[in-house]
Amino acid sequence: MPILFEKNRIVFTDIASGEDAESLLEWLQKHPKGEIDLSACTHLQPANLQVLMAAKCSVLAKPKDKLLADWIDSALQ
Amino acid sequence: MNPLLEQFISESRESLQGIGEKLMQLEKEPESCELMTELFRFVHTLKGNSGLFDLPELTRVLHAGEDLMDAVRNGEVAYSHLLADRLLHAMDFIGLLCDEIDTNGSTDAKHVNNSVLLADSLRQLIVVTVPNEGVEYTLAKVMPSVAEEPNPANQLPLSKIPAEISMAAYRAAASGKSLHWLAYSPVEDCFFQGDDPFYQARQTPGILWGDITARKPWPELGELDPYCCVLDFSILSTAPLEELQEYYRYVPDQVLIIPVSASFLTLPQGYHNGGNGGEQPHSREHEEPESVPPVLSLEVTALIAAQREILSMPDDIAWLAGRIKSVAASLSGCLHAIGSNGIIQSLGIALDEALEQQASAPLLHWLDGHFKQALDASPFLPQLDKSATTTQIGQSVGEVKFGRRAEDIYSGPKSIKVDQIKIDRLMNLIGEMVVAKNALPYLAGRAENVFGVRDLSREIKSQYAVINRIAEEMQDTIMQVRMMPVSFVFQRFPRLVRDTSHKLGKEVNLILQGEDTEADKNIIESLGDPLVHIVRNSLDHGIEMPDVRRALGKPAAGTIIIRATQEADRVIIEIRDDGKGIDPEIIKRLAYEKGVIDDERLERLTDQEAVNLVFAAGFSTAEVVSDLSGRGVGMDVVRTAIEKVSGTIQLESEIGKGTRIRLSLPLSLAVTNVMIVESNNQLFGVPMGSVVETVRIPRADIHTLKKNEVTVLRGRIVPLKSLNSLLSQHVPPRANEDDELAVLIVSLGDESVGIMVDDFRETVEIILKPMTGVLAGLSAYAGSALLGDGSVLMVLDIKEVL
Repeated sequence: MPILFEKNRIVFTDIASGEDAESLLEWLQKHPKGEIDLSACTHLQPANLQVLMAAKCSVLAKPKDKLLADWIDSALQ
Repeated sequence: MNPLLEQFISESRESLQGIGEKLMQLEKEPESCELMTELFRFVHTLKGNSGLFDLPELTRVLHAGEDLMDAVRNGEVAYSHLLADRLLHAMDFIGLLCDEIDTNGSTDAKHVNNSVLLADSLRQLIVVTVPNEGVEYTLAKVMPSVAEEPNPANQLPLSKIPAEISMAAYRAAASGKSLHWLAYSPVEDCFFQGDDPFYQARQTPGILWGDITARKPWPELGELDPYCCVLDFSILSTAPLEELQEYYRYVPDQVLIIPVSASFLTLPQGYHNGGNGGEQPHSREHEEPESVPPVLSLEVTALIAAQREILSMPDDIAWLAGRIKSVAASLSGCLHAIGSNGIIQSLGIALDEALEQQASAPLLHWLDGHFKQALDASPFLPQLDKSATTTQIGQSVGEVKFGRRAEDIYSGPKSIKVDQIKIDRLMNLIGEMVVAKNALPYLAGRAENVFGVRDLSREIKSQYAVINRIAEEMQDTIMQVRMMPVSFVFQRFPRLVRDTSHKLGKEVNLILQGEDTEADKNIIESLGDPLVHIVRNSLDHGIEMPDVRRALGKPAAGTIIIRATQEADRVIIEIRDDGKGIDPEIIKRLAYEKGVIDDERLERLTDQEAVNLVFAAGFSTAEVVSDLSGRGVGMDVVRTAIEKVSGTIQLESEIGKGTRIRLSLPLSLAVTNVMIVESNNQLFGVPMGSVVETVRIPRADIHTLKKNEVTVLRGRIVPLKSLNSLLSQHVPPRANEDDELAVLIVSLGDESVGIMVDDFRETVEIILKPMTGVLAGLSAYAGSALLGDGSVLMVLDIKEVL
C-alpha cells in the first residue's frame, strides 16, 4: 500500500497511484488537520496532488528527491 | 521496416492519390454527394490505418481532415476552393511524411509544428466548432516569419523563479544553450486517457525549474473531483526546441513553448531588465557590435575565421545541428576569452535561429556582423563572400512551406502490382526462349556434319553459350518474381490449431519454422489443403488427450512442428508431432479388412511399408468419423495433391513417440527435366523425377515368371514391361549388338519397375504443355513439349501407363 493512513498522519511510500486519490480524499475529509509525510515518496499521480492542494495539507516531511520536493513546494505553497 | 508499415505506406500513397483525384472531380461538380462520401471514406480509412502506428503527426492532420470531411458530408460546411486547397495541402504533407517514413522508418519531430498548424487550418473551416478542441493553445512558432510579433517572454512570471535557478539558467544561456519556458495545461479528462501530466512535466528534458498552479480556486473538499485535472505546469528548460517538441509531440495542443532570452531572467544582482525585453533579436544584435575589439589576437582571429569557414559549408548534412552547436560553443568560448561577454546573448539568439531553420546562415550573419572588421584586417580570410551569405539568408527567411512543391523529387512507390496472367505469359515466353535456344546446338551439329563448316559450327556454339547464360538468368529472375514465402500457407495454422485443439479438448503447441522459405506461387498454393489435412490428422489422431499424455510421462501439451527448408532445388516441409504415432499392426489389420491388401502381402509387409498404407486409396484409420478429419478421403487425397505438383511424401512413425511426414516439392514447375527414350522409332519423354536408373540387361538374364517377364537386379526381383506393348504396339523391344536390352528403371510408389525400350537418349529441359482438346482424354501422356529441332515430344505419365 503506497499510502499508509495513521492516526493523524499519512505516510506516502514509492508511487501513489490514481486509485489512491479517492481514499486520500475521504480520509482528508474526516481528518482536516491531517499532516503528510512524503519522505519516502518518489512520485504522486497528479489526482493525489490535487487532493493535497485542495485540502491545503501541511507537509511534515519533504520527499528526499530534491526536484520532487521543489515541485511539491510550489504546488502547496 | 516491418511489412505492415510497408503495406501502410503503399496503401497510403494509393489513398492520397485517390483523395487528390476526388478533390479534382469535386471542383467540377461540388454538389456531388457521392464523391464527397467517397472522399470521406478515403480520409477515414487513412486515418484509421495511421492509428496502428506511432505517427502522431500523421494521425493528427488526418483526424482534422476527417472531422472536416464529416462536417462537409453532413452539409454543415459547404465545399469551397479554400477547403480543397487546404485539404490538398494537408495531403501533400501526409505524402511528405510517408516519403520520410519510407526512407527513414519514422517521422522527424520537426513536423509537429506543421501538423498542428495544418490541423488547425482544417479545423478552422468547421464552423460548428467543437468545444474542448484545444484551439487556445498552439505551439509557439519561433520561425523568423513571426519575429515581428511582440516577444511573449517579457509577460512571463519569470520573477517566480528562485535566484539560484535564474543564475543557473543565465549561465546555461551564456554558454550557448537555449532557454525555453513551457506552459503545459493538460486537458481536464487527461487522467482518463492514461496520462500522468505531473510525471510528463517532471521528465521534461533539460528541466531547470518547475511550478504547479491550479487553474481555479479549489472548491470545498466535499465537492472536489480529484479526477478532473485543473493543474497548470510551468517549466524552464535548457533543452533545444526540437527536443522539447519531440518530448511533447503527443500533446502539442496543450503545451506552449516560449523561447526565453537570458536578459529577461531576474538576476540576483538586483537589475531587472525584463521590462524592455520586447525588442526583436535582430535589432539587438546590431546594438552592441562595438563591444568586439577591432583588432584581435592572431589566435582568436584564426579560430573565428575557422568557424566562419565551417559555417560557409553547405548545409546538406545530417549532423548540421551538431555542427552549428559546436561552432556556437567555440564562438562563445572566444567571446569569453576576449572579454566580450555582452554579445553572448545575441549569439544564443542566433544559435536558436540557426537550429530552428536548420541552416548555418543566421550564425554566419551574426558572425559577420560582429567580427567583419576583425576578420577583414586578418590574413586568414582575405575576402568575405557576401553574395553567398545574403542568398542563403534569403532562402531561409522565405515562407515556410511544408507541401510538396513541383520541383521536389517525386519518389514513387518501389513495388508495382502486376496481374498474374502477365507474369505467367512472361514465364511462358521465357520458357519458349529456353527451348528455342536449344535449337542452336542442333544447328551447330548440322553446320559441321551436313555442310562441313567447322568454324561456323564453333561460332554458333559460342553464341549459344552467351544466349544460354542470358536465358538462364532471365528464367531465374522470373522465378524470383513468382516466389512466395511459405508463411502464406503457414499463417493459417496458429488459428486452426488453436480452434481445433480447443474443440477436441487437447493442449497443443504449434511451432512454425522456416516461414521465409520461398517457392513458386503455384507450389505454395497447392500446399494449402494437403497441409491442413495433415495437421488436422495430427491433431485428431496423433496428439493424445492431456491426461493420457500425463499418464505416459509426456508433457500435457502436445507439440506440432511445421518446418520448411530448402534443399537444392526442392522445398522440404516437415510436419512432426509428438503424439501416439501410427501402429503398423492396426494399419495392417484395417488394410486387410478393407481389402486394400491380400493375405500374401499382409505377411510380407514391413512396418514402414504398413505405415505408408495410410496413403492407399480408400483408407481411413479413424474409427470414429469426426467432423475434423477422417471423412473417408484420408491421406490418399494428400498424396495425390502433392504428386500433382511433382512432389513426394514420406511418412515415418514410431509408436508412442510421434509421426513425421516429409513433403518434398520442386521449387518451381516451369521447367521439367525429362529423359528421352526411343521405342519403335518414336521418341518419348519420361519425367526425371520417376527415373531411378538406366541399365542394359542381357537377354539371357530375363526370366519369365507366371507369364510376366522379370529380372534380378542387385538381388531384387524387378518386373519388366515393354513400352511398346504398354502402348499397344506389338513390336518386340530391340536389343543392341551385344544382345542387351535397354531397361529404364522407374519408381512407382515404393516399388521399382523396369520398362524395356529400344535406346536411351539425352535428358532435356522442357516446358511441359498439358494435352488439350480431344487429346486431353489420353491419360497415358502427361503432356507434350517442343524440342530444339522443332519436333514434338510426348511425355509419358508413367503411373498411368503401367
